[in-house]
Amino acid sequence: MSGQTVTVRRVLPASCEEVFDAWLDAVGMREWMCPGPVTSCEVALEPRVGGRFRIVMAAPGAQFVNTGEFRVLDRPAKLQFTWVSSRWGDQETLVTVELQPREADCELVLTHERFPVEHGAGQLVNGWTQMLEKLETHLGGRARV
Amino acid sequence: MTSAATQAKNLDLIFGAVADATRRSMLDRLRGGSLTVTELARPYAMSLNAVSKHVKTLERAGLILRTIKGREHCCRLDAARLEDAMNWMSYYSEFWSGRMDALGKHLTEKRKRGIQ
Repeated sequence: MSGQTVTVRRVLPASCEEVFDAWLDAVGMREWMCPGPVTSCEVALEPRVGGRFRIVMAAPGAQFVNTGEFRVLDRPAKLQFTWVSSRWGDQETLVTVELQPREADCELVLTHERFPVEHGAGQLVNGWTQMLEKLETHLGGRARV
Repeated sequence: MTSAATQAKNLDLIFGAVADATRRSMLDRLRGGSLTVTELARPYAMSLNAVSKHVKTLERAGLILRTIKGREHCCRLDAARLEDAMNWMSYYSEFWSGRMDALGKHLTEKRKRGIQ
């Protein structure tokens, strides 16, 4: 895996169908798409390949707008969508959510790639992560948001 | 504070610059302190001219700062830009971890409420 990617893995107490559907449930998403200081979250989405979504997160004194387009909707195994956030200079990134049944539960693996193919992501190699880790140590972990 | 468009362009320059192994190696070596272009060039089997091109790419991405002392060009790491790149990973790793925990809670509550 190349270094510009964030991966998060969770085993969730639901079937993969329920987990899949949660990603396309605009009302339910208001509950779980509100990070830390965000006080309200508005979600609008068009659940089809090529359909767009818009998540507006409002925090005291700040508002972040996240938009994107669904690329893959393969129920209940996989979702993929682009992710553009006003928090990060409106740069287009790519999120892939893969779901696998684990007995009664569902294992979710989310990968967020900073560089979609059209930005030349394929050229980046593992050394990048290692260098960042070294640098983070070097900077004394100042890189927290 | 840079505009959103400038920031996105800067990030493209940064990641373009670190896509090359030689340039990553140069950045890594500059972590130890500033080096002249001649010193920086020493371990690589390439012309000073080729090294100079890599230095320019790193400079354009804002990853290094170059100062001229007499005939020597001195390079040092500009950590702020790299820090910006690291912030992205640290931000989203925290963001998605938090969202997935919240999704887990949401699904548990939904089941309790008996809604399919």
